[in-house]
Amino acid sequence: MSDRKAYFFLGSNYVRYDIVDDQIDAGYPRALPGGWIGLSFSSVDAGVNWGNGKVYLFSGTQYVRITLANNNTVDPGYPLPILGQWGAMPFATIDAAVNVGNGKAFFFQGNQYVSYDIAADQPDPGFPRPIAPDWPGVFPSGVDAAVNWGNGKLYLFSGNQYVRFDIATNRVDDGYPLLTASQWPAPIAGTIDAAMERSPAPPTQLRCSPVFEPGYWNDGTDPTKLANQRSVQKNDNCYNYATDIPNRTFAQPGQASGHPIASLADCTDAIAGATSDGLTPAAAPSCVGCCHPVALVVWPNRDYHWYRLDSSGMWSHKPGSTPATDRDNAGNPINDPRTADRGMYTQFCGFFCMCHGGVVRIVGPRTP
Amino acid sequence: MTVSVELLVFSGIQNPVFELDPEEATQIAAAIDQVVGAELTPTSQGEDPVLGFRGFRLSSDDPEMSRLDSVLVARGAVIKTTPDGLMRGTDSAGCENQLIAAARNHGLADILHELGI
Repeated sequence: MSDRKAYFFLGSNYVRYDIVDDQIDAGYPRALPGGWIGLSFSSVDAGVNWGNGKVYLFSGTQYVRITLANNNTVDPGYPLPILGQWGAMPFATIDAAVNVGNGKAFFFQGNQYVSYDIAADQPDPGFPRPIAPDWPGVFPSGVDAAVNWGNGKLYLFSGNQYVRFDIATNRVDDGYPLLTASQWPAPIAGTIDAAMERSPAPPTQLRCSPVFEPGYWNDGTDPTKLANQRSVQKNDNCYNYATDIPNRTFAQPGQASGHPIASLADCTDAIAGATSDGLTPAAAPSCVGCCHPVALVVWPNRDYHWYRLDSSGMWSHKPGSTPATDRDNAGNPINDPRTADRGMYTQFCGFFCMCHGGVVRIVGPRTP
Repeated sequence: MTVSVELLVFSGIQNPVFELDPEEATQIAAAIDQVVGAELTPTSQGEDPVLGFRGFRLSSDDPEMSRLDSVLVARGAVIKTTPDGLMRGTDSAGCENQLIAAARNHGLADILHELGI
């Protein structure tokens, strides 16, 4: 028996599940509250491990915070109503919640979901959004339960089915959905209302977000590299930098995927080109899976430009053949490309997710 | 004599490039010679990492004009790439103004106007 556990809540009962052994621990199921000291809920709709020693359980319009290290005890002052306690959370009830380990948690309600910034303790702007376009292969009409398995996979349940979602590729693995009752490794009887990992999910942000490494990109003062045309700085542009794919081609959105930019009158063609290359539009600078957010802006009728969000949580960019920098035109650090000094690049087009494995190839007019 | 001039202005797409007329090339070469002939100081800063106008970069494969190859004219300075690194001289000969005038003559007046130049 390992110490890596998950909990599944089914009606008035719950089970503790051993992730390593793939079986339900002896002595389960138990009736609520069972080992949850101070819990007054007769059933649980959703649970999420916040990664700081606290877990949250939701039931109806209320929730409780529990300290794991204190014998799974509900903290004083709880339960509280969901509305009004979670920033601008638009949901009065929660169907499912999961912490993906990159500073974001996701809350599902009906056919919508909210991306929640854990550090800011607020839903991200632009949410709720429909599940379908952002969670390909996941149940579009609703998710009953979600759990982070800690191995780069999420399991999401709906009715009598479940899917395995790969965080790195941002899609459901082949072969799913499967039946919970008969195809889960240790069959669980009944419909799962809520699920939650006991051990916090390992962080993915540091693994998946690029590090601001100006030294690698900024070789423009190296006479040898300039002389033999091998300078990364001179031959890679903002698109190479934002996607973190240096290939010395001055890459253009859509060029590799057959949708080159025909017009820069506005954002339209640049968005189409980037999407064609495999970038995913996002309502906010947050991505599910092994991805990093990037942002597109346009100097109408002239040019486009890209920013990327680094592992530091700050943005950086590389204007054309210049050095990469984490400063805007006014010399300020870039907290948000929407409010940065962008000079002539006045039109903000939107955020995208650059997922590892999602963009296969980018090219431009120069010979690699 | 062929001297190409790159207007350093874009980020995503490639910068516009034009060729100097022989008369323009002679005049600008003389102005740059004047700067480069004076005292130069080492610098670590080449093209300024900002969005928008960043100056001009010259290139030439003409042996007579090879001294102009990889010369950057920006921010009131002439910056030359040498085997020892970048060397900087103050643009006391009006190189940048001459290149702006040449850019206007070669179809880039609109973009310079849009940039307020």
